[in-house]
Amino acid sequence: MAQNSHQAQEALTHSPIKGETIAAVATASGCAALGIVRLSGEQALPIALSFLQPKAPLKARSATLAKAHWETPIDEVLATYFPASQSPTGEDLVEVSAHGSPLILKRLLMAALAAGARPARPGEFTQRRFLNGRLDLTQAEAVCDLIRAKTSEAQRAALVQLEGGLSKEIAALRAPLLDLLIRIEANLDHPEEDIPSLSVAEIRQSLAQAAAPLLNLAATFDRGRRLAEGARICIVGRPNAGKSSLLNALLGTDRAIVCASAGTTRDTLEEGADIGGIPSLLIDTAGLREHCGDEVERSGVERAQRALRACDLALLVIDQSKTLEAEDESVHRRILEQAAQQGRPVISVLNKADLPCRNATRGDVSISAKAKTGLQDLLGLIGRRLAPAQLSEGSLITSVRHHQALRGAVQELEQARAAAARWPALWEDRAACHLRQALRRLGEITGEAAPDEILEGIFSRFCVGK
Amino acid sequence: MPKYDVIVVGAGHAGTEAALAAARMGCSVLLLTQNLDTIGAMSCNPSIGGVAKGQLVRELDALGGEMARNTDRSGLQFKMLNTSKGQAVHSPRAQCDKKLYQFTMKETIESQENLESRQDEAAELWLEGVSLRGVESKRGLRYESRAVILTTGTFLNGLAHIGLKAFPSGRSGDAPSLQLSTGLRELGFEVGRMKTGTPMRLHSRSIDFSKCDRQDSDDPPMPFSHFTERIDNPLLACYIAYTNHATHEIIRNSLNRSPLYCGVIKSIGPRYCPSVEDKVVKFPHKERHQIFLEPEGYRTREIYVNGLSTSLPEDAQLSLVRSVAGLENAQIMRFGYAIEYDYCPPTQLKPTLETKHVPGLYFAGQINGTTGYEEAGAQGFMAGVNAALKIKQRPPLILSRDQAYIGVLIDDLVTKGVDEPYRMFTSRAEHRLILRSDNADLRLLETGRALGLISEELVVRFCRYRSAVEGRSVHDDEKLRPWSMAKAQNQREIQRSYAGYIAREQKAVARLRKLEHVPIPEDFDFASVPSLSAESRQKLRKVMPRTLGQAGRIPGVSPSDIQILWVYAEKTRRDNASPV
Repeated sequence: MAQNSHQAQEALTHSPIKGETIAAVATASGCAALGIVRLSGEQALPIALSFLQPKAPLKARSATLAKAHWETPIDEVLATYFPASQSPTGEDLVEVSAHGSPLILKRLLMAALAAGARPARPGEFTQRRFLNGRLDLTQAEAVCDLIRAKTSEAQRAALVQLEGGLSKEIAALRAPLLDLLIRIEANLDHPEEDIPSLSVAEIRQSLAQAAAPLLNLAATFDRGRRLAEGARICIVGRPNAGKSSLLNALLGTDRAIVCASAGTTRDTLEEGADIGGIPSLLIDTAGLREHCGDEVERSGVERAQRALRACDLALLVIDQSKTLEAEDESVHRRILEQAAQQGRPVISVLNKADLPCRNATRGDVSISAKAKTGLQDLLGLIGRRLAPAQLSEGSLITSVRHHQALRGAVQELEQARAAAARWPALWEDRAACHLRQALRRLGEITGEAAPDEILEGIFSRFCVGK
Repeated sequence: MPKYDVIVVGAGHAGTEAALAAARMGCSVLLLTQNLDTIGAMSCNPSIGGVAKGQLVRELDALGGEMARNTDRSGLQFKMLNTSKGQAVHSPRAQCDKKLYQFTMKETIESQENLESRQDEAAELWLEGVSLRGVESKRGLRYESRAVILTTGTFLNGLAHIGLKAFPSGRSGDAPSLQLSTGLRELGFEVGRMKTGTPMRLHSRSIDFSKCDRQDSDDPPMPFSHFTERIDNPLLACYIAYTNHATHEIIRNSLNRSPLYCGVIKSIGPRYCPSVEDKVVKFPHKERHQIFLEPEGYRTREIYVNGLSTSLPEDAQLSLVRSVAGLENAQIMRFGYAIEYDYCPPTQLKPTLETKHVPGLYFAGQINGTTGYEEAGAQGFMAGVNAALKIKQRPPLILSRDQAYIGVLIDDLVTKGVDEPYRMFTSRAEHRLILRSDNADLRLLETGRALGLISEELVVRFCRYRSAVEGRSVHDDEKLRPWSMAKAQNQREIQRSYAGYIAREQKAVARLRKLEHVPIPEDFDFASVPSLSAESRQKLRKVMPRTLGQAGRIPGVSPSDIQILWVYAEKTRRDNASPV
């Protein structure tokens, strides 16, 4: 009995729920006015602050305006911090309330995961409320039912995600990894059998070969994300080329400040729109110039360049009513080069077609944002440029969790290669450790576990044992 | 007749460790065996250790077990395997003089205080209602005790096969125990059947060793035990020969007389210890298989033919052996055979190796579906220790998977069960990089001390060594013996070279440990949790895991089942904590 109470004590002090901080989108999926991302656990506050810049220090239980930023700006949000003593989950909790776009919420979640949170399991927030004494005993049953229900729901959702051959594809990618691991393990456990051993050169090459398709699949995340929640279309160009007018024309509103004086858009503006059936986020940026005037404008230009890096498609707006100067040409060239480097498609849009044409620049489409002419052609072109991704062969990764797992697996393979290089005579046990971890990460996507497969593989492929 | 604390049935590798551990912890122990001349007998191969098994023996040694010391005293060849690979898989192995091993162990047993050995055969358990009172012997004697540890090896209903002839047998030449397993069945234990095999033994003068590859011992040999300083035994060589097409042809032509291939033997044999028939049938494209010729001792000419385990009839055995280069004139002294025996699926055990069904009754070794001297020794030790701890009303010793291979072994057995004879592999240990043979003392000696199985004198020296490893002090080797500054320095270097991995493993361990600390009450009614899926409810009821961590390792139990159980475990805890 003494033992039991001791264990119970330990169970409390070692409560696993204290160790890990979990994060999830708390609102229903789909577009809504508002969406909430929730973080719960010891590290909730520092993790939240890694991607939030609050206007004032966060105070307990009061909503504070903050800028959310991860790689690129995400949104203006309201952040509320609940210290453990006052939180519904019984541990530190941060709620980030943002605009309800699935894209925004997903990026907030990715920012939290990148900073060390892990995705919450179905029903886990409620489970923590219970374990931390925020729900009474009579609710235990209800908590379990909720976990069960949410799990089935998640499984159904996962099934949908795994359709389209993703699980098959992952299985195909796992196979060479498992094969390598089996060969290494067979050598580790059966040194006296005449099992061919792998050289460092072989293992490094095999690891690189195995990693490449994983990286490719991970790279489809951007395209997958675009299909799932919208493409990021970035509007760039020289000052006063008519970028904001184009945004307004595509949205049909007067969202951006439009003014004849060059350089009026100093921030980036983002607006959701339906472009040729693809939900999209249009991003208006400050005009790009070689030499910037004031500081505010310079930072606007930097943002524009970042937006260009983070977009799926760029619209380069060129004022065809103006004679192009050397600086114009140079900026346009830079944009095209940068986009090409990043593999971003660019559409050159010749604007101001309502005015006489003053230059011979070749564009992909000619429009007038002001007179709203040529817009249909442009929409069609955008649709075609974005669409090929949709129709390309193979699966697309759309889930943040899957993407994280794939990236994790790739990292493990890189570490295995590094281990082989660093310990050329003693690499096997170390590389095996990374390979196992890589398989485990892939297993997170398809739900397969490895250990039995390894023994199975060794016995079926090698004649081991005396 | 006196009442004992513990009765150990069987004096093989599990039984001897169990009896010694319990006696050394202050229990009065009776060791019952059919034959006092076969205490600690090496029934099959003449070696101790090997990859993963060597780690088990080193751990056993650090905890205060006997196997490593006994090996050092009786070894005739010592090798550190895998030295061309990372230290995590370096594994010691020794070839032993079988009789020396056996009689050294017999002497240790007979010199041990609190330990009586008796030649008598346990026929059945003596129970009153459902409570265990002791053991009844074949000659009708009743031995009374508070705990009974069954280590029956292959004797439980043993049936040996050579060709299509089958005969009841324990080890070749010894009688099987026929009654015990019937009794276990009647008590409600699930009993299954397994198979293993052993090769023929040859006379050394009939072998042309010049046609074989020679395999020498490491010299100087590295002792198995942490407490052995040097080994002075004369060192002998082993030899390697190879099968060829003719050998394989003979085997294929004899399959119609193989009990394995005629359906006579239906039980499951180990895939990693295949008979030569299996090797030839399952890997038809392999040109040759290795055969290790290993001396059985200093004072015998018998050679163990490691790699030719077979149950083919005698004439086939002879011709297949003689087809091998170097063995053309081989003279067989003992024939190989297969043996089928009863085992009890180990999911019927608690992590202490006590049966869930009958309190005070423990199982260790092959009765739990394992194979190997080392696996048996480790379980025997743990059963002996836990029986003693229970009698002394002390908390049980359960080693975790990140602490020891022994922890992996027992957790695998009681959580997943076995579907073929279970042998340890390093690949079974997910924390392999921290479970090395070079740090068994650092991992476990403190535990051995707490059990009272390591002398204070050694503990003092060990503490100096540990502090030298941590770089906190420097000592004269004289004050460290049997450890040394060179060993400490070496250990520091190993730890440095694995530093990143050790840190990573420890992080993973810390995460997993937390679930190990959430207990599930012993009598928890899994049927009362409606939210669990029917499949996992059934599996949980069979295994009856004691912690959430263990529950999570049962195949088929999902993470959401664990979340649900967690809620219930917490509910139970709060129910118990609040005054009624």
